Amino acid sequence: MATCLLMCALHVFATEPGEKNVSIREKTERYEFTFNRNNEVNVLQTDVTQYLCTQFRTTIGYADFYNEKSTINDVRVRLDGKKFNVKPIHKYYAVDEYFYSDQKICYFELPLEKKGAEASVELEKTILDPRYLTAIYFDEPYFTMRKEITFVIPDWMHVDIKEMNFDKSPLKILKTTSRDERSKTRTITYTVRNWEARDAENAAPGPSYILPHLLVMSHYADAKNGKTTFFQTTADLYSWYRSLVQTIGNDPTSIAATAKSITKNATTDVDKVKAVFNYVQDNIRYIAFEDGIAGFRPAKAQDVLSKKYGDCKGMANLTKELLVSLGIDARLCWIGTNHIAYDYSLPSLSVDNHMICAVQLNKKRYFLDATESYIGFDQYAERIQGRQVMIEDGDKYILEKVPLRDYKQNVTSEKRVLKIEGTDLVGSNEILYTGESMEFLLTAVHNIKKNKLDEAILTYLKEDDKRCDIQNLVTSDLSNWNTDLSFKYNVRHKEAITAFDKDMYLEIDFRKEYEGLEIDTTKRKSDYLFPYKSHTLHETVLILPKGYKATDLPKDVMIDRPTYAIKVGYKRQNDQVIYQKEIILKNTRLPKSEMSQWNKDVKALTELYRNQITLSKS
Amino acid sequence: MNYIKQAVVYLVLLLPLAAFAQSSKEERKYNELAADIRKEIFGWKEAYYTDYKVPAKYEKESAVILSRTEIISGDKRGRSVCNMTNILRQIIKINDKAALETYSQLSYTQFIDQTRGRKLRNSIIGARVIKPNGEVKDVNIDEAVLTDQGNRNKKKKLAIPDLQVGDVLDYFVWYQDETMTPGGTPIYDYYIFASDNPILNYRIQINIDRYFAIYYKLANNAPDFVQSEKNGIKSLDLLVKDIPKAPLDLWMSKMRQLPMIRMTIAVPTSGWNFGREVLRPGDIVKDKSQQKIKDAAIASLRSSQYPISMYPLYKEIYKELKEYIERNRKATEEDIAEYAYYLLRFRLLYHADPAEPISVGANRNGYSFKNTFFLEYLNGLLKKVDIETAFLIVLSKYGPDSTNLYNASDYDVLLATTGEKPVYFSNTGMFTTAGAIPPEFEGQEAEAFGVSKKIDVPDTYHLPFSTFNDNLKSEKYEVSIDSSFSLINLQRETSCSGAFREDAQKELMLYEDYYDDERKWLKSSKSLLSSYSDTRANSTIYSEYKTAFAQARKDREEVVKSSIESEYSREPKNVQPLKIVKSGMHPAKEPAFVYTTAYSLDGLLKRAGNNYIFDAGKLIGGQVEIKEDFRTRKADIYQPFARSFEYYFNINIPAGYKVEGIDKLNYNIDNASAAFVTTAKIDGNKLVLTVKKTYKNAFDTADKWGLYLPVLDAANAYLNQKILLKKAS
Repeated sequence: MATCLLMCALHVFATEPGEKNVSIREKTERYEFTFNRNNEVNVLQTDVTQYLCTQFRTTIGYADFYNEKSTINDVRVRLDGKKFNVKPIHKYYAVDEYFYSDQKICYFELPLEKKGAEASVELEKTILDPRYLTAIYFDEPYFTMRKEITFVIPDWMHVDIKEMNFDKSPLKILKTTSRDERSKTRTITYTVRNWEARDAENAAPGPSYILPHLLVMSHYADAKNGKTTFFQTTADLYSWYRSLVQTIGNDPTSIAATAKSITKNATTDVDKVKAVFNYVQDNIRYIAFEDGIAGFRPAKAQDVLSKKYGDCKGMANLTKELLVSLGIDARLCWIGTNHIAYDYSLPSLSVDNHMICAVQLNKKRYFLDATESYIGFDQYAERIQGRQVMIEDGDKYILEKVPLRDYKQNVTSEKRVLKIEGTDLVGSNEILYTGESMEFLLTAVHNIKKNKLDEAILTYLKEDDKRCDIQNLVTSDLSNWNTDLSFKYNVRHKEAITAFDKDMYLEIDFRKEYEGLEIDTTKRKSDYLFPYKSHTLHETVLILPKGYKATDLPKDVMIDRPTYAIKVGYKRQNDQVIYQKEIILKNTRLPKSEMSQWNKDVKALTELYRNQITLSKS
Repeated sequence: MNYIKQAVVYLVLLLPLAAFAQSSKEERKYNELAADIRKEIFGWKEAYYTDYKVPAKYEKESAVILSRTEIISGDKRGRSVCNMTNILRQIIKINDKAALETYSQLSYTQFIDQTRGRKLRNSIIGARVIKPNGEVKDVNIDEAVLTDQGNRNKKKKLAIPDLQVGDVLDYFVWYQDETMTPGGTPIYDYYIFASDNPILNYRIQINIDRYFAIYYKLANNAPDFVQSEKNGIKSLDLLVKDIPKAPLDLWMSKMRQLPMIRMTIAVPTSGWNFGREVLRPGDIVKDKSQQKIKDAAIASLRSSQYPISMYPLYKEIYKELKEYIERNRKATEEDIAEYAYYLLRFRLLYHADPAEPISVGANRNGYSFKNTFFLEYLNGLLKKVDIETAFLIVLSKYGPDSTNLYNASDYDVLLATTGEKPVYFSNTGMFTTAGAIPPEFEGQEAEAFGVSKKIDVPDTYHLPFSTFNDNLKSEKYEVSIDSSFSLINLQRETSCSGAFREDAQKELMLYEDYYDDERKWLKSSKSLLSSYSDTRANSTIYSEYKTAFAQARKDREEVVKSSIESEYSREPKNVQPLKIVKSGMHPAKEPAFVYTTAYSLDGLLKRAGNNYIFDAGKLIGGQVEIKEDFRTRKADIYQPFARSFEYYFNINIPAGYKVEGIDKLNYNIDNASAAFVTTAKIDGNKLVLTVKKTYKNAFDTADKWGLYLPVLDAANAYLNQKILLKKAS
């Protein structure tokens, strides 16, 4: 999706994380603030890593990243104490989800020729602008016996080093400071021992929420030729962003005609905004670009419009410019998605990773994120909900939050009336999808080739059940996501009834959301993140065959917890059995502490799903 | 085989980038050339380059190739500059967002080389978008971004601007290469008339002057070129209209089923020796004689024979073989040949060099010899002990048949003893056995030739088909229900014989085990570890191997788990370590690879009041399902091999319950091509289920598809069968 790759410190992903065969005996990372020849502040970074082969011979990769704001000056390698000549490969670093990134990789292989072999790599790097030195993590791809992170800060450099998530650290982080009066320099050193290897879990919160790390914030330098301010305050950050935005080079006249044509049928401002938002969502392909300073400066609105592609910044800027040309108060916004733990109280480039557009309409603020291709107006994707947003306001800025939406935004609601024919269940079905539930479905169906689209929708509705047959399907407009998405159809669940003697047995639920979705608490390290809050509603009316009674119905499950609620049950009503299900995911983050309860609850739900209704001939 | 031609074209460079950046003159020259080329190609006059209508029958397709054009031209200038120009142009109608995603980016490697020497390499890309109202929008290629920059090439990526659903994308790649030398390696290409998308017009044109020569072969009813000559340029031209999408990719042999043209373009100096025939400058040759291709295959093998003493480890291996013969005076020729095969395999393929990286896991099981080196060595070794052999050349059923032969490398090679019961040897992997004919050669005719002409051997060997009885995967289960009625516990013994054996061994055997078994069988050498545990210097190696073995064993448990998961499409629980009962390394003595696993499955038992419904049918795991669109089939059926699957379930009925509904677990469909036969009975406190599924033939004509469907349907229906565990009242 649209998360920008800002130039935060990229981790080295050289080999499989957690490989036990190799350890890091010691790693030292040293960051020294200096002036270059032009009196600009640079950071000299020296990494010395000593690898140890603990089990059997292997070859590992070593990689580091750089871009136009950093250079790799030298790499020296020793194997078992002897000098080893490496010729690192330098190339553009291709990341699948990015169309283009200016990140380059410096890569080479280290042969560890037997158990006990050691390799040491010394890498010297220059960070050309201290703004780009942000988060520094303690974890490495391998178990690390000792790691030392040192900052050498001359008195002229004003920098704040924030200790993040230290309270969540399982191990002690030792900090020492010293001062050298002669060079008027402070040295701060953090040391950790026996640190576990990096291990990324799926559906986990971003690393800035959970891992201990240091956030370097370069405020200003008393340079020989005067004060150089980096990001001392959030206002500094904003004014840097704004300086980039002011040089975009938008040409309002060249997009005005398109804006008018898009909104020709719109009578109110709200309708105009909807039309423009819809147009950008539908017509501009999202393609991620990262290119030096262009990684922070949006592309020209007229270019994005004519090319029909852009990254989040380009799409936000086009949305804004189209609206501005219609006389609507639209502004650019910087935002960190929920992958990032920080907010704008920290003046740092690592606070945000995304750009959207804000609109002021009738004293109400709306946010438009056109990279979410299938979300409706005034609906918000989980990843930006409740996030602090920096809205442009001339030379000043406004800090607000994107509204939170509760589970009611994202509804899946299904209603069926079924009767029994032979061993089949036959009847009618209506389903409604809204918000992110709809977006999820639309994204899936639009990614399917057209000749398979009809089949794909059917497969989706059938839950890939070969014995489910759907006829007379009526679908709402799949290309209009400003109204709810609905399906109506006749359904036949073949051989859904198992009949023995005088009794019939059946399972009534064919969707079984969350079935068996237990989390292995023995392995899980972090909280579990669901993609979005959701509200699942279902009702089935089962008309019983003449002469039959429901002699046994599965036990109801009625659970209400702070993060979720599960209410599923059956009732008898005349010659009918009514099955009702409501599952609410109130929050997307299931804390580790609630997982064993979740597992018990899911187990009860799974059992209910699997238990059969028994119908007996009276 | 690269099935679909990609838009990515490899265009190489000769000039360092710095020089390129500095030379504005060169850049200007390139830009002028590019403008000319774009004008020329986009100016082609044929109607199908400007007809953007899609026939109604293809309106629901994701994308339709309105036209695909490939033009290759070769001419020589001066004494040694061979100028080859390739053009690929495609015009594609984008019908949905999925196609938009596919075609919205072009990746290519580009270089400009206008100055270095007289030999040019240039690449030019052109693209334009045609809107539904007919408006043509040229794409500015200069907007491509650089994604990698080597010393001599630039990899670029271009996002096609203003491309939307409903538009037509028209792009080409033009590539000029003058680096081919007269008499140098010819260019090989192929054209397939089937693709993921329908193609309305497929044009191929080849133009050559009198210095070039072409050899081509039409296969599987591919249409032929029209030949013409004008001003000393010979042309081959072909336009094929309305090519439907390729059929379902199940049980196919594409080289035998899809229409295709295979082609070689050469610049022979005097005469290029091609398949025992000579291709002279200016020749256009279609359909070489089969005999000559065969002769070439034989000649190529003959020419790669070396004196036996030149092969690695020859002395030691020969000595061990002689010792075996000494020890086993009653050994038959077949016994000796087999021993020689396994000995050679062990010494060459199982060998572990302490100086090499340790490879004892899954990767090791894939080691193999891809060329005839092994067979030639074995041949030499057998000769030394007076066993007569013959090489056989044979065509794989996944390659062309004898009427569609293209060149000598279409042939594979086997070695066979020439006695009454020939023992066949094929190119060797870790688990390939003596005497086994790889399934792709079964039923094929193999031509024999002795390397020494003194031996009188039959000319033709009819390689037999194995039967569905030979290739059997059999599974015996002890099934119980846990006391809480939530899990089904399964203990399974799996036996894989015939053509099933090798793949199963590859997946599940451990180097540590089979190395040692094989060593003992051969009565050869010391164990791998014992040879390293003697000295202190070797103790590190010993310990490294120990750890690597332990890791491989652990990794295998993951393989077992994911393999069970894919069988049932559900995660197994309580998976126990796999045990190998019979390694099956020497099928003559132990025909099957047998192993046991134990695990539990969740979700197959469902409470129904006091009773339980048991999804017993699901115990057989997932089955091939044929969807509605594919229930008619025009392509012949190439099964990997005839085979049977057998399942035996002994299900313990829990005390206090009785079983109802077993009558639904009886199927009996048996025809000439396939069978699905099952039984169910109660035996004391056990429910006994048997299931046999058989594919009887390795090959069936398309009209037999109707015999497969009821069998596949029955297997799918069985999956859905349930029984009732009724609480005894």
